[in-house]
Amino acid sequence: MHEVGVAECLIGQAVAAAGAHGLRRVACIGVSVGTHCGVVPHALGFAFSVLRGGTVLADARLEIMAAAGDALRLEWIEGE
Amino acid sequence: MRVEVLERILKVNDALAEEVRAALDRAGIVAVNVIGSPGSGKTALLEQTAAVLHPRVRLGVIEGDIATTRDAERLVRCGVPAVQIETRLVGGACHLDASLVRMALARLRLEEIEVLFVENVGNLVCPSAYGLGEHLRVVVASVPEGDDKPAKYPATFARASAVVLNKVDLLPVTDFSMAAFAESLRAVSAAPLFPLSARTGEGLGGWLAWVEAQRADWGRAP
Repeated sequence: MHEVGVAECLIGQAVAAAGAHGLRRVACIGVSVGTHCGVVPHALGFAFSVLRGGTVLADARLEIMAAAGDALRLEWIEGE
Repeated sequence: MRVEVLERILKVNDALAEEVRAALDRAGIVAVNVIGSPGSGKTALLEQTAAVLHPRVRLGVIEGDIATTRDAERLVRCGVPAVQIETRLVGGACHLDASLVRMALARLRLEEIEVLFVENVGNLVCPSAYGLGEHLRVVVASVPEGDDKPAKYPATFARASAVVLNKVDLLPVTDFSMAAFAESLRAVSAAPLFPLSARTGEGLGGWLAWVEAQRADWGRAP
């Protein structure tokens, strides 16, 4: 239900990480989503695809990894 | 190239929640995040709690709703300092977050409060993921919702410090099984369960004693 807010945070953090590491284009980001974190992966993917435009993530793929508990973590970003 | 980031996605909320928690600790306040479905009786429970405990135990309330200031007005009528957060003014959020609570705290006189209840937006899903800086979480369920709620919303019930089962006066007219509810709760949580009716007052004693004990454990000495 609040996946848009989560996607906004995620994109902000991924953009900051890309800047910190000098990546101009991010191809993929990896996120772990716990079974009890209250986030629906499909809805997060949809929100991400809508909100990523106009950033270094514009073409980025979102790779969601199932995790245990309440994990909700940006694990890595991949780009050049 | 791949860069490890390893950051909590809601780290902004987490950081604000820590700020809120520090402000509460400085003021000697124990804060309770109250989570439950719309209509489960969260506000009614707080009204009854205030009627008995306040001002011997000095309560304060932050009310979260999408719209209206009705709930805060109900608590103010009980003599409790209460402020309302209307999430429609900040995007209609389905849950409170730590930034909203931080703003609400600025509108309360913290030195006058020992136990602060933060009544979340009516919702058994979204509030679970957002820490508000609270010390304790209470989930309010009610008999008409059915006895399967802990099984259906395990993430929310698993993090409860206590569970209130409201509207037990309706048990005779429903198929609700207390044993089934208790069993599904025990599968995810060891939190104490307080079956009560905020309408009739039945069973309130155990809940009120628990609230008072939390003040002693977390807050200022009485």
